[in-house]
Amino acid sequence: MLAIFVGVLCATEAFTAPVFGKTNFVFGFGFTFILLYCGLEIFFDRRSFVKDIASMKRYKYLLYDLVTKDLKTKYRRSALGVLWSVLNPLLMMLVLTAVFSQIIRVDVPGGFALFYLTGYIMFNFVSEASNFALYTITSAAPLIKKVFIPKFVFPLEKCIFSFVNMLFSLIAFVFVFSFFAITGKVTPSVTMLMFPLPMLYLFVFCFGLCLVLATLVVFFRDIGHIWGILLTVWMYASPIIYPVDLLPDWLRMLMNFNPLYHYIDYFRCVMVYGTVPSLRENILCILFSLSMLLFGIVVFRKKQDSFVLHI
Amino acid sequence: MDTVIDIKNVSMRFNMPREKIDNMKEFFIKFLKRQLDYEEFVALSDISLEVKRGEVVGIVGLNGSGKSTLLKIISGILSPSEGSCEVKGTISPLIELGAGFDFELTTRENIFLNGSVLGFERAFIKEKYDEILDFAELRAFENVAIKNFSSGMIARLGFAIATLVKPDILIVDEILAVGDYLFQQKCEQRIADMMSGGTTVLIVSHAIEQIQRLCTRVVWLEGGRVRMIGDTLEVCNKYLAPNE
Repeated sequence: MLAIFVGVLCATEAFTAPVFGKTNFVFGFGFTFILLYCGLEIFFDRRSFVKDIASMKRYKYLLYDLVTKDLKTKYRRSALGVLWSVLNPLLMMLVLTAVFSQIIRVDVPGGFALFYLTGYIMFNFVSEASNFALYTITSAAPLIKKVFIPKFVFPLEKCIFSFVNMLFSLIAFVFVFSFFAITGKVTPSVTMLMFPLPMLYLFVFCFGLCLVLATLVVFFRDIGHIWGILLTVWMYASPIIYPVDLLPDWLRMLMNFNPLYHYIDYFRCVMVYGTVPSLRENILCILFSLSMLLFGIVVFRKKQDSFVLHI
Repeated sequence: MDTVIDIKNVSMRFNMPREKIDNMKEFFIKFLKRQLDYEEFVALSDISLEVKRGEVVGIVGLNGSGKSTLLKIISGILSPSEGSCEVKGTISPLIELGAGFDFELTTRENIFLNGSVLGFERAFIKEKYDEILDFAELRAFENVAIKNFSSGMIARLGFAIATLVKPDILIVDEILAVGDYLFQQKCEQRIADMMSGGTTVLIVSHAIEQIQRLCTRVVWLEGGRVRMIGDTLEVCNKYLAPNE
């Protein structure tokens, strides 16, 4: 069994080497391992897996209801309402741009404002969705204990809710971009139409992450407390307020293993710089997303039956 | 007649940790010291039961005998520690009425929310909206937040939504105790309608008189085990007999 496993690993490694380059053989091994493991797990449990997918259709109205309820309650009693989803990234960008283009000078092509805003929009989605997702299962306890609902509905709902918020903050991007386009600093390009692609990659990745987090919190409430710190670390470890060019070589090498770097870079390329990322980048993003999603699904499904005993 | 519920050697055990451990530090320390001991609580042990289509099965037993646990396993909320439970067809679990009601929302909003919690289509709820209001007799309170409702009103609303469709299996857990006698009659009428339409019904109730009136077969649970399965009259008489 193990021999077959290692054999398959080596075979895929030889196969993937041209794509990832010899230096990044870690990717080859990592992805193959995760995908193979998760694939097998799901394969052996395919009957109930198919059942779960089928129930998704039945509960789409519940998903829709929960998302609209969240959207309604988020801005209840605020005078500007949903406008805050646009204003928030704008104001954040103003503050950070003031600091990083006047006080600490960071030079990036296209200006710091757009550079930061693109990174912020992507990162904020992950941070918001994961923070919400942490307590989805525990706070849905009254429902889970009383009626049968496929439990993945709750983390998925939070991801969709945060995704909708991200779409709102895109409006802020459009404003800032048009401002810079008028002043002639940047030029709009056709590649901007590719924007749903990196967002989709990120969404899939984030949903996997949320499944893992929601599961962990049920058994260890500590995760909820440490996650805020980890997110801050992750933010500084991602090129949101600085460009990767500033990093020494070994750090840039490490950066390759940060999935967020790839998503953010992808988003920036199509939105600000008007370039289309290479096939290799696309494959990497897809593999990151797919691995995280499958890993999340496997972890969540293994534990979902015992949730009800721990909440 | 075909079997719709097939329970085979189902056991349900709950781990009751002596102390509540929910953080990692304690978990690892206890794990390393091998002090992770649990007291096992056996809620159900080795239950086997087959229910055919169209049967009305009553479940009786004292408090804590495992009635609700059994219903929760059948409706898929809990998964058994051992054994298997196969259910064919759709289930309407009336285990706790109005699960998923948001008490801040109005009757109208709750009908739609609860409908989607139970997995109904939106258009379907819209179509049946008036029927629900009329059955629950809450037309006058259409736009009132249900936090102001009495428990009877909430139960009526919950029952009206949960019994909208004719399910293959209806599970009723002591919910008929709430509501006045008029509403109870209405509920029983609706359950009787379903029964004549071929729905299988499982009823948990402490009102033996009700069980005797409705059920074709009765299961008597005691301490998580089946004490007796059989003819309604026979089991009820034994169950009610002072000291056997």
